[in-house]
Amino acid sequence: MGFKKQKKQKEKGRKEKIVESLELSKELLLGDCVVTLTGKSEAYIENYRGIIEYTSERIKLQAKKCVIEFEGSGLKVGYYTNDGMKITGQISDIHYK
Amino acid sequence: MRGYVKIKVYGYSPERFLNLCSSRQILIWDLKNTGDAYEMYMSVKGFRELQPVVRKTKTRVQIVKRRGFPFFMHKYRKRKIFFAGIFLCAVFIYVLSLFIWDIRFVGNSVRTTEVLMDFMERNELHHGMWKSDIDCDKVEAALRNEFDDIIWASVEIKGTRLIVYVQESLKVEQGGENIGEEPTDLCTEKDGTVERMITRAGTPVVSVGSPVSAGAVLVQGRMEILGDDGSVVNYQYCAADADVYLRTAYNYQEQFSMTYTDKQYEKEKEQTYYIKTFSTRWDLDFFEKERKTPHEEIVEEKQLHLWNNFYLPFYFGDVTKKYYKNVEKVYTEEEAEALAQKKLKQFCDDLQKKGVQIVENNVTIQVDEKNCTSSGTVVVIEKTGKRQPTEVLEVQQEEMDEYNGAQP
Repeated sequence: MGFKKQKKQKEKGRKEKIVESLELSKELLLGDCVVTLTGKSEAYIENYRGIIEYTSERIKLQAKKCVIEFEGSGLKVGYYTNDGMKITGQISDIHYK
Repeated sequence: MRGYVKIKVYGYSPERFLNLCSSRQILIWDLKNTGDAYEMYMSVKGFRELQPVVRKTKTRVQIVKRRGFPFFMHKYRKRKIFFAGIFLCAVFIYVLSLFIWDIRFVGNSVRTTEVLMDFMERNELHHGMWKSDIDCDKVEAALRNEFDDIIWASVEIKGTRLIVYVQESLKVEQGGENIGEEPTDLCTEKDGTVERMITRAGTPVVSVGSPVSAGAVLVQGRMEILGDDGSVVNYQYCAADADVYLRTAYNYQEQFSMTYTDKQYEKEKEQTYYIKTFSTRWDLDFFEKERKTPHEEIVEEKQLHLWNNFYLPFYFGDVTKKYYKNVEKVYTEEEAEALAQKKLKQFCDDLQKKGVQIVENNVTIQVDEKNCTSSGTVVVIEKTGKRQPTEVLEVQQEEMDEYNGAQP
């Protein structure tokens, strides 16, 4: 089991190296989530899997490698598609779990 | 245009409902949590694809609002006259779009819009003509042929507008005068004294400081060729060319009456409106009484247009009437003098615009009970030189022979 994990990590490191050396976009190849913030009131999120929880105080999103949690007040979703989403409202915290 | 709905989703797993929507490429916007439910907008097309999602997630969907053209059509489906009106309106607008309703000129300054408009009328290009009857290339060529100073023209039909772009040539400087090859003299048109003189071709007849009278020759186009004994053996002819500046005087005489009529405007202005279409005008002044007192009218007219280039043959205008009374007034001495000075200044400015240099101003202003009279002379230095053909003189044959024999 330990050997498998080690192998996986090694492969991951190699993948990152290739992406870096070819100057390719990381979010595309490694599946990282892209969060673009405009002040406190707007956030654009790309490369996510789906919504886990949504209330006007908290939005929890599932990404490939982590869970992102937006906290604030009066949170709304401007649009929601497979490619990206826009969150508006007063954002106070962002947590990666 | 295709319609959208606002829906309310509640039940077992609304978050899953959202994720399934996004994975099935159903666009959701303005998603809001209302406590126990979610409200969101989606297109009608998206809404039709919802059924399997709803079944899977065990949620319930309720339509809150319906917006857009399909719903509008459905709501008013029984109003036949209304739809006929819309259809007729569309046909009417389409028919109007087949004509020219606005002609505009861009880039003209010397040739005024009125002059160009007059030309267009003569060439049967006018408001209300069929767009298909216009041959832009032909109009461009006609414009260039008619006006020599228009060096470039472009005619464009945009919407219901005919836009004519023109480029006018700049005036050729005076220095570029074509003097030709014919033998000519330069003579003066006015009395005066020669102030400065530079001769480039020809024989100067006058010198700096000599008085000349109107019509006198200043530079001759005939040059004498003298023999050894000082007698004229031949003449050579050329077009005289010189810059001759003459000191000359302009008489200034101006008189105006000390009494004048002044307009005393009433405080209140009267504003009325009108609508014009084709050549019919409807005044919207039902409650205004026609007054016979003299008045000035200021008219502002606007043409109705949809978007920038879709002009229609409908005009709205407002007319402001300013009523006044004619009051007889008398100038005070100061006012009369100021007015006389103003007129004199205008006269001098006009002279200076012609390129004349003013050196002396001997105008006196006299004010009496009835009139204000300004009289005197304005001394100026101005360029002169009018061309006239040189008189060709016969040379005696003997002298000619002698001259030719003397040549090696």
